[in-house]
Amino acid sequence: MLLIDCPHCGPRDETEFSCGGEAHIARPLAENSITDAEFAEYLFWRDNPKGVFLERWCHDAGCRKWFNAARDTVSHAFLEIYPMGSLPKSDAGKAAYAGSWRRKTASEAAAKPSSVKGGKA
Amino acid sequence: MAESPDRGARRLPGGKPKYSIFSLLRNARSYHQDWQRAWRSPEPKKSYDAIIIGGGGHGLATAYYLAAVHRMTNIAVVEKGWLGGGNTGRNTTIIRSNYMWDESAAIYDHALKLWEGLTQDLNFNLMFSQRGVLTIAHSWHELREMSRRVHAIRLNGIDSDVLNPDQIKKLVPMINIDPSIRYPVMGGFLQRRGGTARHDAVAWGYARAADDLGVDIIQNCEVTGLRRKGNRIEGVETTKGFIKSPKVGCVVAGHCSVLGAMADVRLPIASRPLQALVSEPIKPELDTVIMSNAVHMYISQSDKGEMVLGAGVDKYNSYAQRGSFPVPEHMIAAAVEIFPILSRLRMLRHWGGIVDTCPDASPIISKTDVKGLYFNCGWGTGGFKATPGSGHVFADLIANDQPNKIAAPYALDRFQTGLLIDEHGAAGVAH
Amino acid sequence: MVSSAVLPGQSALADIPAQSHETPKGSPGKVIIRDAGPMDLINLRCQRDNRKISAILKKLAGNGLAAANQFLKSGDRAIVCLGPDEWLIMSEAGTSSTITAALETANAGHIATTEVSSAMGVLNISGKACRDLLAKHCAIDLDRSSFKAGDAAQTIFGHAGVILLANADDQITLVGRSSFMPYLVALLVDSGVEYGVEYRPA
Repeated sequence: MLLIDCPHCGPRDETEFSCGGEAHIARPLAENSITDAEFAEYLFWRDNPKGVFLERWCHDAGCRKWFNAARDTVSHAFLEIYPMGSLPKSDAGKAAYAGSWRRKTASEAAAKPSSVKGGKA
Repeated sequence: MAESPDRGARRLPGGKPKYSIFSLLRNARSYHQDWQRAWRSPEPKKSYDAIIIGGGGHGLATAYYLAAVHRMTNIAVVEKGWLGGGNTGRNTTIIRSNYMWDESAAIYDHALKLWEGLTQDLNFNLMFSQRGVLTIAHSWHELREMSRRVHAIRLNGIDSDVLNPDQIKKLVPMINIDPSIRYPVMGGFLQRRGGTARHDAVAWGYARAADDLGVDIIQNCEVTGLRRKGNRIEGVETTKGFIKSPKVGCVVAGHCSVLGAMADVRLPIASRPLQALVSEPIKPELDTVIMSNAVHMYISQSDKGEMVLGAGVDKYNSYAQRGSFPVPEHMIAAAVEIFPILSRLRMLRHWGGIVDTCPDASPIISKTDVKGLYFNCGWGTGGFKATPGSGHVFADLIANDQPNKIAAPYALDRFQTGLLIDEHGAAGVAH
Repeated sequence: MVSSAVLPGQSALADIPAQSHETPKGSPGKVIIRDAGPMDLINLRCQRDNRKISAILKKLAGNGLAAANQFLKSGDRAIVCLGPDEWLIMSEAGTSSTITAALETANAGHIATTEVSSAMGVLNISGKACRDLLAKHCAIDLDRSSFKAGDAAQTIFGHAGVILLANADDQITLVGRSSFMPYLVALLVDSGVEYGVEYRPA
């Protein structure tokens, strides 16, 4: 049984949560500037590491808020829990974020506001 | 390139020496100490014509069909642990082909037809038992959905019969058909040709037969890298050194993303825990496989008398080969409501595997952007039933560098074209 | 939006009959489960630092916005913190429209109020064994030292989502969805038989 430290409610059993899969998948804004294959990176391709994984969780049976977590998929240990909308601060979390192939994808590049005409940089 | 099982006109070679009542009697005289080892444990050669990464049922089947059908015998299977030690050794042994979509019907029934002669082909007792697989409907919605499904299945020439609660009770005496329970049994559909097989046996049967044809099965040999030369696969880096090959087939289930990352092949896979458990053995009580979507469980009774139970995946990614307790607890609660006698049973063993789940709950059998590199993965919770069919069509793909009609819809590019094969409904619980 | 006239309170537990199981020898004491009767409940969404809202609540309910995982009670009214920007305001039946009107017309910026009176039932559970009883189907730590007077928790009891409010060592309030009330009462009574238990309708 995973014990998950909800940022609002404190440590609770995993039965109170749902898992939202990989975190930090940004939706391409300039969809027409990328190919179908590149759009599939966003829609279907997933990080699936044997090791530190950055994922989203929702405390369904409690405060119903979403948060991010860096968790090891072999030991199941939670290394860091950080707010939705922010990036990891722990060394392991930062390494997992920077090292993910998704950072180099066209779909992520197309998710930056600057990629859209007239969008802010 | 064979689309139908390559049997009948030319019997496929099985394992040698032939197991029979005579060999049993002969060896009894020397206290069964002189049986020939079923397969060798060779050191890897410097190169092969093809390498299969993954010594589970699918990988060994692939190697066997490459050798037996395509005459590629200078090949190797590389397995990081012991053969059949992954999901092949952990599943709940259910075999069926009653899927809705045409593409699914094609591959799962291809597999089932191969199962139907496999013990003879391999000369290895797979304990293949066509005891029937019954899926129960618990609501009006499920009854309607089921009837649509049955029509689709029958239109593909696959057997599927609708049963009412009384017929189900006759088939499954220990079931509770009281209409007042939370999820009453309102009907079900039965595939009589479906059933179970001994999961270890299929790995061993394929291993023995493939080894006899000259295939090197190299265990305790972990792949640490996939070497490319430009856009072409050159071979595999392993803990026993580099092995050269122009063709590499990856069929490693839950570890497919780990392998894919070695060659920059990206996949839509999430690896999740799938748990199963067996009870203490009891006298024969259940001679059909029962599955239920609404109450989230599937159950059969092994020849040892154990009730074999399974349910759905845990909700988070994992490579730990274990899950959390609430999943089996929830599943057993459901099972006890439908089969009250289970409430007295003690559970004997409980374990988990790593299943590679795909967004459309259908497998990936595909070439990749790297020439000579092929992937067979994404079977998720439903790979065991497809073992012979998966190996057969994957061997075809590797040998010809082209998928046959059965494998073609499962290419990786369906996630770009949108031609998904959505089989989440195949068993709302798991495959 | 100011809510229109709310239907006069009918408790979510209206159809559940009184039940009683005698107290066996050696029990720490009977557990009494009481329907708190029709109450008004308002779900409030706003930022924690919203001073205007805090001031209105202090006036109407005796307290401002409760801190995380806490509730503040004054007379018949309570403010329960459900999340970083979500509270439940509990008050006597027939008072929610007044409270909602005050909150909505205060020009207090971005807020939302939702009338949820008929969505929930409220049970008061008391007795020395009440925490042990709840612990049978609830995974959070309900020990007196961990779940103290003033603490609030949203969690699962059996198969139902509930809000638990610790009033005192021997008194806990359970708020649950109306449609789950028959299930909750049945589960609570069944779990309390070993202590002696009584369910009293409002």
